[in-house]
Amino acid sequence: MIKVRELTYADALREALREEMLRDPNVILLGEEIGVFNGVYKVTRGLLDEFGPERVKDTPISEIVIAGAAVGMALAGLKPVAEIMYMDFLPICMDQLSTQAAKMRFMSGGQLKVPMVLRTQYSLGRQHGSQHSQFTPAWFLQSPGLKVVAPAIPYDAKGLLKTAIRDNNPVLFLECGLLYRTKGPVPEEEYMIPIGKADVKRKGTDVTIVGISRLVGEAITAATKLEEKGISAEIVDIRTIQPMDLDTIVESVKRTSRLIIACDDIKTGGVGAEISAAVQEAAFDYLDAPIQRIASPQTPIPFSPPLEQMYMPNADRIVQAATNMIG
Amino acid sequence: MTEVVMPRLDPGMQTGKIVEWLKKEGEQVKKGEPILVVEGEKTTFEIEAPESGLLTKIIAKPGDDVPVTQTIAIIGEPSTKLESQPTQTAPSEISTPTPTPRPSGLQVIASPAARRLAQEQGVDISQVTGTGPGGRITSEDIMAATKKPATQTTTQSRSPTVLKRTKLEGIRKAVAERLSYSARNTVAVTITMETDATTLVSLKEKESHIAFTALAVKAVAKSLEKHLIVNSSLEGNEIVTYSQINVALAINTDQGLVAPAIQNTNNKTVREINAEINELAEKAKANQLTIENLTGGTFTVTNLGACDVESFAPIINPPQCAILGLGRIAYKPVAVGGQVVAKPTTMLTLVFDHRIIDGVPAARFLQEVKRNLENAEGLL
Repeated sequence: MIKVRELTYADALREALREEMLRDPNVILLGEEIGVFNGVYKVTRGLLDEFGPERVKDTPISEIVIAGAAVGMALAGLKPVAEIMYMDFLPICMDQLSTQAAKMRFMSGGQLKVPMVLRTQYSLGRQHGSQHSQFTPAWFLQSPGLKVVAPAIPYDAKGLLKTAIRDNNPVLFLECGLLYRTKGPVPEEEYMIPIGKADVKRKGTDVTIVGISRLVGEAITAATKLEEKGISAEIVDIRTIQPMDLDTIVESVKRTSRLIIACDDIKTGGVGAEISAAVQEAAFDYLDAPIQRIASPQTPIPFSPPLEQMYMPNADRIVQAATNMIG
Repeated sequence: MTEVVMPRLDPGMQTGKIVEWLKKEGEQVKKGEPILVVEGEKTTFEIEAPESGLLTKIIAKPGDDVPVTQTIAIIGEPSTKLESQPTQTAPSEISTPTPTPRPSGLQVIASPAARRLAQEQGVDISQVTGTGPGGRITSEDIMAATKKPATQTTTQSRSPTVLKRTKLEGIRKAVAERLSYSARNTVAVTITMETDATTLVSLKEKESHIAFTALAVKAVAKSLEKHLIVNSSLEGNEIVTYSQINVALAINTDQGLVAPAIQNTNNKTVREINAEINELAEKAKANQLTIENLTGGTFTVTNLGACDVESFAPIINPPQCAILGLGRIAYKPVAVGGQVVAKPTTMLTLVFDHRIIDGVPAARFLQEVKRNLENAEGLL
């Protein structure tokens, strides 16, 4: 029998790191405050004590060093798992990620591989201000060669991180600050979750809601409220942004005829825009309503708590959109 | 609201060019009144308004090459403004207010899914009331519309279980369009004639590489020389008789039926024709027939004899005047001088367009074909 216990999202990630470090001595962690301080979000708690400073490396406050070192380590045969404290700092790593890591395997005709994971998180909803809150996954849709993963629940967080560490390609692993303390069932036995597969979190017949990261939970809340109105919503958790599992989304839309995409990024040119375009290409003749995107407005994220609450997408906005679509 | 579509002015027409609009956007038009000039493949035509009303939108501009059946303009209901201020171009009978199922808008507002379902279910979408946001017709509305008749009667109509749905496209679509056109527009009459195939059979024994079809094609070409009226087509008010004899041959392929033509058939020997048929059949099976191969036919021969068919009446290949259907050659009891003997015979079936020729000339042509086949050695 499979034993299941409740774990937080942060602890599920920590278990994934620990299991992979025990399994493979080449797995090395590096990042700011991950060792002595046990990680800002406690994802790396206790790992320095258990594995020592050779395998858990505190770095200077230089994101380009962290990303560049990770690329170098990966090319040299190690399996680095680097942490960037805020997703907002990824532009500092962009050259290493998009220009170097993503392209080396292709440009070397497969002679080189870059088996690295770059973990980071976005802190929207934690009053961290415009420069420490952003979720910008769409930037990496333009970096072929890079896999982009964004789990929404502890179970997926653990299973996907283990798969990401064993992947021979660079994986950008996007965590969500607001989710670290959320709990969910995680089996004690080892399991893996494939990259590139979406997950239907709830079955429904009237509208498909594709959720990304934090908004999967909001979509599930919305589905409960919609049920009271007699609207049956299907929730697809995309789990991986690149490569994207369009088949699962299209299959769902063909049954429900309506699609809402909920993502914390800026609406303009966001992941929702890409999914919307791809779905209408594949399933135009199955749509009963224009595809709706629930996303953030085109403005820097406000620090003020009430303004930030107004800014953030939530379940109520999803409910409103679904209700308007069905009319 | 009525959509004005690019008409098919002749059977081969794929697109038509807009030469000029005789009416402007916003003008009243009367049913039957010429509203634009279109250039087809052979000539220009004035196109008449299909309905009276306001020419609300001109979609295709002069110079545009538009595929047939595509919408080129929209004629709307007479507006209330015109009703209250009748003008000379808006006669009273067309300004009578007619109840419209939809209050406004030139277009039926329906979702893509609803349009697809309406087509699949055979529902007239213009008659469906939309219940979606802004009155949009959704797939639920179409499904509700398909269920209506069932609620009126106690017994539910049955439809057989569908294995698959195959889109009508490519050769299948062309065959469907051309033959529907022919069936609707020609006045087809069928005549049959039994033919003694003794010499054909003995010739086949000597020249086994020559197909019966090749001999029949040659016999037809030779007969057409004497009866050129059969080598005609009807174009508008004119019967066009061709001096060039190009016999087309129906060939079955996996994609559907094709009928490539053998150019100047009457000037070719049976052996040349036989070789050309083999070549065309190869090309047809490889889907490599060119436009040159597939156009210019003036008469068609089709042979189902290999499939044990006794006789059949094929559909005329438009715009041709006639088609010859060949059945199998089989030994039959035939009366010869008071005695019943077994003889190889075959049935010739000619289907001709009575608009172009009458029964007697058609029968004389078929007699000529029969004579040529019964003296098959003369064909070589």
